[in-house]
Amino acid sequence: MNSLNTVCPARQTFNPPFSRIYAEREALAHPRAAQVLSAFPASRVIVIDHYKDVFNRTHQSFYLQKQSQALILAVKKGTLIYPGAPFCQDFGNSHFYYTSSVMNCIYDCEYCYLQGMYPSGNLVLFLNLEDIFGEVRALLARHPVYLCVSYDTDLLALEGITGLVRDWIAFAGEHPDLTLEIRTKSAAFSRIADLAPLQNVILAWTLSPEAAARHEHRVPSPALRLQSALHALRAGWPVRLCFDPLLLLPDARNLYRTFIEEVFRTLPGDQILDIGIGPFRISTEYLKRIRRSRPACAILSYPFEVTDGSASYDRTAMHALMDEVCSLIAKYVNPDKIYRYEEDN
Amino acid sequence: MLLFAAALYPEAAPLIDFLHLKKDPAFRAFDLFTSADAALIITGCGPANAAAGTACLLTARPPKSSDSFVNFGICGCCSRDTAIGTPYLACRITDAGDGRTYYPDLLYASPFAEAGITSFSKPVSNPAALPRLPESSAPDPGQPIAPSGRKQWAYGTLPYGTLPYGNLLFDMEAAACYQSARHFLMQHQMIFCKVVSDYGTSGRPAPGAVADLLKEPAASLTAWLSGLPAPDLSPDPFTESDHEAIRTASERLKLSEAMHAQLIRLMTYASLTGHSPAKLLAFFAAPEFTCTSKKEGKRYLEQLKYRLSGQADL
Ligand code: SF4
Repeated sequence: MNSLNTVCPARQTFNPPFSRIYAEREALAHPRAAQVLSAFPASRVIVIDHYKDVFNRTHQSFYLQKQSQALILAVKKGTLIYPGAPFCQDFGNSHFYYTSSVMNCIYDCEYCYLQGMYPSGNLVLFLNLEDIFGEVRALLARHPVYLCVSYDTDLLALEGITGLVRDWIAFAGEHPDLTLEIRTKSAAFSRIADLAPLQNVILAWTLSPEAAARHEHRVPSPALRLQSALHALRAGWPVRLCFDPLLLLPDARNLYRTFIEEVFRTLPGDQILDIGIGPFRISTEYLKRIRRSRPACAILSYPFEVTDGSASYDRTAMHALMDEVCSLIAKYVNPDKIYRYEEDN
Repeated sequence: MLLFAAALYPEAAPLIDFLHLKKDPAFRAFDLFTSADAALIITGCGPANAAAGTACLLTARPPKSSDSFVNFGICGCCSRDTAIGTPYLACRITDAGDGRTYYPDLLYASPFAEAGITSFSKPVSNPAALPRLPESSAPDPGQPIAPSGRKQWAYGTLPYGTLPYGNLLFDMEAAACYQSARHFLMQHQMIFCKVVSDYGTSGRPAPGAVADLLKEPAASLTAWLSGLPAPDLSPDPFTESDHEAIRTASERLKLSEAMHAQLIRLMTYASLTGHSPAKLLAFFAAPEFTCTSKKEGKRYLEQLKYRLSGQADL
């Protein structure tokens, strides 16, 4: 399959990622700013008033910006915690929330919904984690909380720069009623390998067969992700595996069959906390925008079916693939632990 | 295509020379110089002229996603530490009129230093008297923050708070060119290359001196621009025969506008997954093929979709 890379210049032509750091004046005063900036001694810092002055500009090329991603340091105001989105799985948790201390991701998956959601490919890092903690404490005073902290980004992939995962884990250690999900495609478990495992912090790896991973640029290979998950499991962390999004690639059934066998040759199925399976789905608005930004991307040009503002593969074909994937996984993992995202969720 | 805007002829002269541009005598409102792959407009001084000239150029030569727009010329500098003749790319452009600041994307590696620039509607004669930004609680960005002790600020060695509007440079056109050009171009397509000609106190150099001063920066600029990639962000996935086959199929299947759009989507997918739309649609071009109604055409379209969406072999 083609991708826009065929019409895009080589990476060396671009300024290196994070060689430009836009920093809100207020963010510069935050103690975390010095820590982040110390990771980029050669970068230029451009002082801004508000992150939206850069992030929300019109006529940005999400795709090209991703080739020379700028970092934007900001202080988050307004809503900090959101109720779980309908496109996301709740894994049976009733008080399901998510929060984004980072907007955007260092990886570049062709099918990523963030390309349709954000006007910019640059990465915004909100430094005031303590304010988010404050809001979580207020929620915890009312009921237990299940909180996804790595939506709209890949937090573990950024750990070397931000240290946010460590802080979240420390916070979860003080609040047993809080369950965190930290979802990643990284192979960066080593960044937190020195921490004692917590049973209320779920490390969730998104896994894709090699043919799908070819559309996930700059993401560690499936084999490396599996190794990272294995280390986490051995260290005693609850590990979730997510086969989401399933892509209807040519010969998809065989691809997933071979891949699932490989996954459970590496990971002991009986030790996995649970499994999430979901088809590729995206809002039609986002899809329209992404197709404009990545016009030569085969995955996105698929003739999707549109129902209620959501685009997805042909229902029958996708159901057949989901059934197949579920039954293959059920050979290794208790079926009660398999959560399947259904369109009418 | 490279599209340039310069305020005055002496600023444009080195570019006209390097790029072998010829004056377009048919162009009336402004002086326009062109070649097969470049166009340069001389806007005149000040924000109103700059905005009008830029809009005029970009209307006359509607830019494609692979084109670049460059505002080139001289500027003043707030620091005498900066040598006359130093070229900069603007990473931050403030309009002194309303205090708004703009941030063109600087995605491509360049041989130039970067700095912020403030655009005024009148020439600046005393930069020391220009308004500073209000002090904030932020640490003085002039102080090193990184443990390495390196200063990281985009404004040379001067503390941000000591610079008018936080910018090292000043001119009369960049902000207006930006505000005009952003209606036609994407952020990464706009480049603002300014060369320090004075410190605001000594007056501007004579026209001949300007052209001399800009010769070297113009050479570096054109060399850099010629090596810049021109990513085509809206590539055509079809060959000429694909287009022809799609037109014919659409006609013969009596497709409505919406169904025609669906056919294009299907054929885009086909093309991007390595199939030939022309071959896939050849069946509908055959003389013996008949389709009597839109309804029947829709059925053919459904069949195509079924085959292409991986549910049947092609
Ligand atoms: S890892 Fe997830 S968030 Fe990051 S680009 Fe890929 S799909 Fe998007």
